[in-house]
Amino acid sequence: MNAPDDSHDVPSADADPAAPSSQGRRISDDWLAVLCGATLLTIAFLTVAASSTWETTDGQSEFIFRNPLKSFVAKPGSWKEQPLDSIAPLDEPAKASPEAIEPSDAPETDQQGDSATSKESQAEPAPAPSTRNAAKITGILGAAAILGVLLTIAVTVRDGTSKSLGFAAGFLGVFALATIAYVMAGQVVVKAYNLEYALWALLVGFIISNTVGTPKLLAPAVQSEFFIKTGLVILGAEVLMSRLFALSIPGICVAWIVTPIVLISTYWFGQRVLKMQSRSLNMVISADMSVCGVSAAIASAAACKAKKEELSLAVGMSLSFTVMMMVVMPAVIANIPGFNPIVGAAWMGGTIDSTGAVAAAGSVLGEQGEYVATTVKMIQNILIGVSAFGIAVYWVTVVDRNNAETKPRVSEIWIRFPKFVLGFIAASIVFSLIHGLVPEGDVLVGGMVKETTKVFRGWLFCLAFVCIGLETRVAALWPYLKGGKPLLLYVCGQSLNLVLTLLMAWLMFDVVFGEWIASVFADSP
Amino acid sequence: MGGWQLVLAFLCLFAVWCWGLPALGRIQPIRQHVDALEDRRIDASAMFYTELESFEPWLDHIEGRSRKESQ
Repeated sequence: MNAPDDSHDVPSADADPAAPSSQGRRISDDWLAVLCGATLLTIAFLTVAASSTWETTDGQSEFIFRNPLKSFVAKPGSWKEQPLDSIAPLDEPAKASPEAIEPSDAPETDQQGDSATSKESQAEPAPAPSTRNAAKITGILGAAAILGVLLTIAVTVRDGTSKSLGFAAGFLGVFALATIAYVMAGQVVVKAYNLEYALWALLVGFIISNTVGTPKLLAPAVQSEFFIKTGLVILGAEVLMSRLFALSIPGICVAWIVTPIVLISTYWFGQRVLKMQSRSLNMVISADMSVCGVSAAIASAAACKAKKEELSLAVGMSLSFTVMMMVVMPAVIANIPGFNPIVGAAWMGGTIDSTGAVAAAGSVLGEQGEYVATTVKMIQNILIGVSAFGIAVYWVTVVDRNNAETKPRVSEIWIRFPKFVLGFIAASIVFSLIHGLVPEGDVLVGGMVKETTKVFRGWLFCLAFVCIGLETRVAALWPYLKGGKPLLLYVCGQSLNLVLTLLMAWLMFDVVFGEWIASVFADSP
Repeated sequence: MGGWQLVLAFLCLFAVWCWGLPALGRIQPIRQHVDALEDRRIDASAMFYTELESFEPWLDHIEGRSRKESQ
């Protein structure tokens, strides 16, 4: 593993001893990720498009959404007391007293079994015998099978048949570790404080690599970059451009004016004032702090070819600050007399890194606060594609140029450009068009993302973080922490973010568009 | 040596997740926080807006509104 230095442009797949050598590959990781992502998205969309139909009942035509893949794609859910509830939740009727709830009145159990965490599950334990729902296990095994087959075919195409068996065997092991990480992340207290699966996936891999070392069986499947890039291409389908204008000008101003200013200023501060050695670490921290936490860190790290330790560090810092901010910010806002809660919500939406934490913090200010905060964060989420593209262009045209000390030709820029970013942007454009222009496209795209591609994307990111943990040694992290510059960068950048976002939120959500925002809520659901 | 460290580390994780965190979740303020999030169907660990179930009705509302305005 490389020590931190100015060689920020080292592609980690080539530098990584665990990954197969890039020499002799028939196709690059980038294009392979685009192909895998496109295949999954196409299958997922065609399945829902072919299965959903218009049906007429009582003279009324209704569009019926169906997704046959739903039963075969799942991830572990949440749990309170028993980790087993995460993969095999108790059936609702068995948990409640049979006398109290007639079968016809019993709440419907979600096919994935998420209802195990619903309010009913907290009712006094009933003496009824328990039966467990195996639907989620089917879904987890289905996701493992679909991803395993697809990625094994991809690796065979890339490296030849000699590597496919090793990858397939290793993949099952890495997938098992990712499942453990998901179960850990599903504990309700852990979830409530925004400690995402990325952290636990890193921890599980990290413990193994720093005690017994990465087992030889797993090594062929330790391909964090490939998993991340494929996951990012799939994420493109969730970046729907029409949602940019969800809060009109106020939302755009907070999310798309302040955020790039903070990103660029923080990066500049890191380079010019703090003189950070690693530009890629500087960029990843600046992006995750200003855009939207872990997902932005993943996208920016892949776009600027950051090292795995840099991504781990940025994710760790982002989650730590998010936990603090999601508790402190709503408490401060709620206790300042006369503070407009809508302004406070927009302020939190623009500054707290993680989407889930924003919703949780916003809900403290009421339903309107939750919606405004989450909508501002959603608009920032959509900035991911643009920022990944911008960072990739900046890296190949400016950073690589500074290193080479000669102006690269267009062909060189093209060779160096991370092609998976194009797949990400293409997925975003295609699904934005389907969502906006195709009849019932919003239902098809929404349902496809919710029940299929979002789950695949989550598994791919989780697998990637397990792999990063498996490749990270304790000693490799220390040099990054020396002098505390990453921490200082985060604190200074976030301070600027807090000031600028508060100013813009007050201006847009109170002074200029206060009445318009009130009208949006006047007819809200 | 590494094998024992691995076993010890995973035993610690097992103890924290199977005993420590459930016990923490029974403490009144934490339980209230968790219950409030569950009542509103908020997944505080969501990485992207598409993971927030509670957000969907609001999203439908504002998208419907913007369609009306554009017509």
